[in-house]
Amino acid sequence: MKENNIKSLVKEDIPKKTVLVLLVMTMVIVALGIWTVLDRMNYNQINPKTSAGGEIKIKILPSTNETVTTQQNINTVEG
Amino acid sequence: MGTTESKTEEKTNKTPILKVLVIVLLLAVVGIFFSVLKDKITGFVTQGNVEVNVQALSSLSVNSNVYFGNGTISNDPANLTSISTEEGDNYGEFNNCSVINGGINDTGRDCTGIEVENNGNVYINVTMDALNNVSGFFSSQTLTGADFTFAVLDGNRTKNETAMQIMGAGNEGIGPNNASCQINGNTGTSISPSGSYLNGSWMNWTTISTNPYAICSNLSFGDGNDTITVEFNLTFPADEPVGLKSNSFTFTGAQAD
Repeated sequence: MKENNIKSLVKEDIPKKTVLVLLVMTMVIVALGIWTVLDRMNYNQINPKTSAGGEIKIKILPSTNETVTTQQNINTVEG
Repeated sequence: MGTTESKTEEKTNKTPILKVLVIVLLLAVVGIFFSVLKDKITGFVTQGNVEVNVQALSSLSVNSNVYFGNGTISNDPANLTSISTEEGDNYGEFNNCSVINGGINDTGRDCTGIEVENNGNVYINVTMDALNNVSGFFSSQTLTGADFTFAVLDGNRTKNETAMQIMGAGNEGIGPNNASCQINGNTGTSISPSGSYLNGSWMNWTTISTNPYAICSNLSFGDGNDTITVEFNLTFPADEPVGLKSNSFTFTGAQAD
């Protein structure tokens, strides 16, 4: 008798509808919470880095001495 | 009889808990609703005041490149060729960097240092990454006497933006609020390498490496006082082969802590 009473008590403790409603509400709250966190991360918490490039260029030309030497060598070969 | 009584008691005890649970859930829903709604409002009027939430924007731009032009270098190890973006009269045919040349698209005479500007709306720290270091930039076999250094100056390349630039060297005491690169409250650091004077009266030349280098910890924003200029100095080894030499730099900005 006692066991039956306890079982009936457990069954009648919270209606299934109530549990269902609470479950749905919990899921909705969790979804909203996640959405809120992600939304705030997008706008306020993520600190994106920005970058840009620069360049140094220089062109080294043959020196006059090198040019003369080269020409002399060519003349020697031709001679 | 006893069972019925205890059943009634338990129901009576659990009903308030259930109510509290439901109230808590409702409060959570209402809280999230208002929280989300607040983020979505960009402006609303309350007692004549307009509140607008301006989002932080970290952004920087590079306004100039450096092109020293064409020229010959010395083959004498005792008298190597040095050129600099801070020199008024560079060696031989290389560009004279004492005057402001064209913009970033002027490939003929860009020789004033690389100007980095904060065009966002928050203070940023700026890091410089070089593609090549000394040995990567020069093709010399010996690298004897080779030097490739940089220094950072406050303000833009025309040297007329910040009060510090206008006042000139020796007047740095006018205060950090008149500088572009200000002191970061958390780290206590500012421009780096520090100490360079305007117009090249003294430059803290630092050897370029491929490691990221924090050149400014707190670059200001706005129409003025929002730029720094990276100057370069090169010494060519006597056995450096002819040809085009180039080095790329990436400047990265992130909101200062």
